[in-house]
Amino acid sequence: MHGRLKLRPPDAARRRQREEKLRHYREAMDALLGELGVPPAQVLSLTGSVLAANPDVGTCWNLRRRALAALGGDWVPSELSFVAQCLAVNPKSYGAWHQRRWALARPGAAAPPGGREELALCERLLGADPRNFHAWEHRRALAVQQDAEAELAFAGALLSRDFSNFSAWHHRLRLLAPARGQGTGTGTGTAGALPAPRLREELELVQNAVFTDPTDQSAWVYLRCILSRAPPPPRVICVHVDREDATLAVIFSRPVKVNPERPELTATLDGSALPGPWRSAEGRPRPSHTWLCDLPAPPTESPAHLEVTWAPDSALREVTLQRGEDEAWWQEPIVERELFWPELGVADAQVLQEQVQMCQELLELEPQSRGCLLTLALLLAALEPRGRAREIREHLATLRDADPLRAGFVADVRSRFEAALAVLGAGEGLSLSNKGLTSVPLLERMSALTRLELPGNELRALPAALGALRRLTELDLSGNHVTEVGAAPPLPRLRLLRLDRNPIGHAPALAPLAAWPRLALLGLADTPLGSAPGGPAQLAELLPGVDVTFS
Amino acid sequence: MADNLPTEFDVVVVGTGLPESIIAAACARSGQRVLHVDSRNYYGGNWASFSFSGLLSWIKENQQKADLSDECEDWRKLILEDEEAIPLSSKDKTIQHVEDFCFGDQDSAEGVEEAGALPKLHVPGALAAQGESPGPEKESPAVEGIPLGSQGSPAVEGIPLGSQESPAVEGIPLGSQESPAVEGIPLGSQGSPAVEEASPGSEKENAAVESPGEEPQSCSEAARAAAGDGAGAAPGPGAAPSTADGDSAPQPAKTEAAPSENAAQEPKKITYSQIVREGRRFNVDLVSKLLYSRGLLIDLLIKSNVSRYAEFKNATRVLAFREGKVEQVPCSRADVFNSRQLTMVEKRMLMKFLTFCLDYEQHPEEYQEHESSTFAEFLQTRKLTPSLQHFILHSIAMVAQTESSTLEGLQATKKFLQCLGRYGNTPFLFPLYGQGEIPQCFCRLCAVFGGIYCLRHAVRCLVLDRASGRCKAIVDQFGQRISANYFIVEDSYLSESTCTNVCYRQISRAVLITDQSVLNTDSEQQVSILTVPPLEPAMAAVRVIELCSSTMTCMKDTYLVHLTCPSTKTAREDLEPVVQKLFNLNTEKETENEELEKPRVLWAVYFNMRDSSGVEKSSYAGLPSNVYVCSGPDSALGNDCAVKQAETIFREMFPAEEFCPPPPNPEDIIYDEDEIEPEESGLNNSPETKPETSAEESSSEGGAAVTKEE
Repeated sequence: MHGRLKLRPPDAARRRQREEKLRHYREAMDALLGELGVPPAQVLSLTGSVLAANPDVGTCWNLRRRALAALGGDWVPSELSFVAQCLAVNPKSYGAWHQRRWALARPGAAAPPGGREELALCERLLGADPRNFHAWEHRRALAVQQDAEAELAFAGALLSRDFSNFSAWHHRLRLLAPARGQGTGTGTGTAGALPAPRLREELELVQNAVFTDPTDQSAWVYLRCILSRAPPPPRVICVHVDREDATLAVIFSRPVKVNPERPELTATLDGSALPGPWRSAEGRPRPSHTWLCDLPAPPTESPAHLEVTWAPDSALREVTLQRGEDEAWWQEPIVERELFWPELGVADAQVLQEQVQMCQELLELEPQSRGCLLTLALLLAALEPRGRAREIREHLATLRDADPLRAGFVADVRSRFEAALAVLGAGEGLSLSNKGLTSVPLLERMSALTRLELPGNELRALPAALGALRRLTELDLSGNHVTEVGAAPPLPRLRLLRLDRNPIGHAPALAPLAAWPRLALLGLADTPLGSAPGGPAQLAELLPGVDVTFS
Repeated sequence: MADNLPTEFDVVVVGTGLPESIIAAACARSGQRVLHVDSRNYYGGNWASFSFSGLLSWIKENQQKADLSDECEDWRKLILEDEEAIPLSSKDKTIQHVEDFCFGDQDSAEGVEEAGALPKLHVPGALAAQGESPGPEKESPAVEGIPLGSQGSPAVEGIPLGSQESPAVEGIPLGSQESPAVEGIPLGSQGSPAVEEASPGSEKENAAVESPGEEPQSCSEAARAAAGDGAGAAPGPGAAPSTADGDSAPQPAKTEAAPSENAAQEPKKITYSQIVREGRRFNVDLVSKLLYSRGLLIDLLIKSNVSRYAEFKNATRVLAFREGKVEQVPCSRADVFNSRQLTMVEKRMLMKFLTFCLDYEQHPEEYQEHESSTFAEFLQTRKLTPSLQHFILHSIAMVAQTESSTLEGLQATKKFLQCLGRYGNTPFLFPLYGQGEIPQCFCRLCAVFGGIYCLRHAVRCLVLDRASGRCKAIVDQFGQRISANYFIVEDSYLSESTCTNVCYRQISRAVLITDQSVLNTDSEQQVSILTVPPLEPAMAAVRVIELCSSTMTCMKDTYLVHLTCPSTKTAREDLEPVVQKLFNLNTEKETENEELEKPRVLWAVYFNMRDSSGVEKSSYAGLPSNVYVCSGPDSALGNDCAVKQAETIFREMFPAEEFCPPPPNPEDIIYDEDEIEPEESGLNNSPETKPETSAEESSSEGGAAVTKEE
């Protein structure tokens, strides 16, 4: 048929262009790297031509920086516009963004052309891709000097285009962070909350988002963040002294690391400083809830007065070991709300109640919504843990079924809830049998316990934070999935340990128990070890002072 | 000159409406020799758009309906004995009941002339199509050398098809890797450079416009011109297509300065004389449609790369008319999130329902028991509040309340939702400079691949070969016989005797020029679609499309409002009640406050257009198998009907050929050194470097006459 065009193989033109580009790149790179001493001006033009085509050649950026530094002069504005060009080619080029920050940080850039131009650049790039994390990062760095309201409006505008944007929510949160206060002393005061009208605005935004699309997690995460504040700094919640062991134990609300060289934690015994050193209950120099210090000599029969000072909040805690007593301790009273959701402590109960209502309303329409179920469970646990325990357990069970991929996470949330609930009602003893616990959180809050019963749970190991239980004498772990003692620290006062019906198969798994000073009874009924040939004998050898029962 | 047309083609297409133009383009693209003629002096037939003065003359023409010339039957002599003639109609009877109204001081407009208007040639038939540019009034701005940059102006707003959602990003062509590439059509990046090259052009148009002084042409010149007809007449979309880089942005500022002076002193007080003077700013479509962003037409525009010839603007909002008030319909996820009128529960219920509609086929249990009921009834069972039901039924699904079944409604809703988000927050695109651009864009592709164009070129009859029963030629108004294998004829060209058994529907149309939007918001530049539910049960819903001046279809501070519905009576009887509900028709200042809030109508026209869609070919009497009939515009919102028809006809003619495949990369084309074919320049879309050269750039014996006139 006539009129038909004759064609080269498809894309021949494109291939030619690519070959041309490659040839150009090779030439430029050869010139740059081939011989030393290329004059800076030429370096600039060579790297410029390479980078304009492909802004990800790190070598070129490095050569370029060296050349610019050598050249001197006011090159910042022109370099910034060059980088902007490169960013147009690849808006996520690490090299180009780095170059930009480097140029802006030059002392030569005394009056940084930054400010508005930088914001405009970010705005343009974010307009094209609202999730360009480089641009967000750049903008966040700039936002420090910017009008917070304008920034909030900017993030808001991007959200109104598409609210599935974690970066935009995060930007908002960061802007509001100063108002939220970065942690203030104790967990109680109202300091650190957002001003009420602002909080309402944010909550309304969240509400719009979650009702529009409850499956989108970004708004739920933002809701939980905006309701809470920055986590309170660690503080001393318990001091315990044991006469026989001559050990002082200090328990913190959050794991801390005490530097043995320059300890922020100091203690005095009857006015004279303890020499230390401080060691963690787990015996590792890692952040820990529990830090121990040996007393120089076992206190005599006279009353011993101990003072503990934690430098960061300069709080002073005192304990006096009376004559005739084995131990003495001080413990901070427990704040119910903090137990469940420590960061939530400050929010207005009225606001929280409204959020509960909002979640319940949504749950009626969307009974399987993950974000809604989790938020509702946490809110209820923070507001009325005891009164609505049944409801909370139901929501968590629904959540586990609705979101099988995160079943482990849900189990941990549930463990924390059960543990907290138990801590609240605990006296000397605490029983958490058959609760499906996968971990034992809040151990730092249980330091006053003497008896802890955890039979029939899902524990796979002894909790590492067990060291906080300075007073514990009986621990029941029967019917779990424990296979070994592992890294659990020795418990100073523990007499009875029940590990019945756990899959413990060989004696060395229990060897660390030899270091537990007062352990006298070990229950190992219905364990594989009991029926293993030679097992009991080997164990008796390993733990000479312990009375082991296999039935 | 007419006898200088080649006498042999593969395909002859009569009529330049959308389906005909698509077929012509597809045929030329697959290597057929195409002759494309239209007896009118503008492109598009009933798909055309007009400047204001162009529209006025169109109205006059259709109101008079006088026989211009008695039929000359000379052509009968050319029919041989073993042949039979099927005469074609020379009169267009598709437009009826044209009534126009001016609500301002019309007298003051006496003697006011459209700025830049051409002295019009009225020599029907004579020297028809030399270098006539389509829509002459609109396209020939520069007789006095007034640099009307307006043609290229909307650069920033135009949406280059194919690049997914590119909100004008100030000149930085962001890589497509950023945009959520729904489909990997790299048109945005690939197509745009070429388009850019094509943009410097408005002066050149001049060259293509025939000027009276040069009329007498020697025969040999005419011969070239004939071949070059495709060239001269190669339809240039009004928009000098330019990319969104804002090159030409400064220009419109200049040209708009004049009208805005007035506007600044007395805002929104537009007089009739201003409308006449600024008439060139209007591009009034005879059909009012929008492009579904995942509709067949968009797919075709992208696939064939015809999109490079046009620019588009997103419809910005979907409106509803409920309880006497116009409201915005939240239809996308972002809309629902931002909406202040919906309660939280409504937001959830609406989103839930829309999400269900997106894959309703997967959940038959949700709708199965309602399959026999109407969609409206189905909505009532879905825990949706009345306002939500109204939004979904009328503004999203846009189906009839009393007739449409549940499945129809679900399908329509799904289509709407699928189109969301491809180019913006609504499912619709509107071509800048009007819907009339689209047929011209396809004509242009046809011309680029060698199609020959003749406007004002009437065809007298089809010549039927008695023995084979096939059509073998046409006879045109000059008595020239042109033979071909296939013939495409638009319905309105068929004679009464051919159409006796055909039963046509009618479309009622109204076009209004108003002084403000039906729903004022912070932004004046809105493109809105509004469905007004039937005021009486027996009537149909009325579709209202309101265009702002940035669509390049009306002058600054005015809005162009299109109303469309299937006819039950005359257009005015059908549509005036809705116009009265939405607009203020009084010329004097009204005392009632309510009336004052409504937009004032400055000028209006009503007409009925014949809807020849959906007519079976067998209903036409005595048409041979190689004659295909294209229908005129249908009443639906989208263009799927026309595209489907074009594709079906093309496949029947050439089952083995691909339909409008992407054009090859110009650099991949091999030109034989021996036969120097200047095709390349055309395929390149590169502009002529010297504006003074005429637009008829090249021709060759293959009939490949290729040109750019912009």
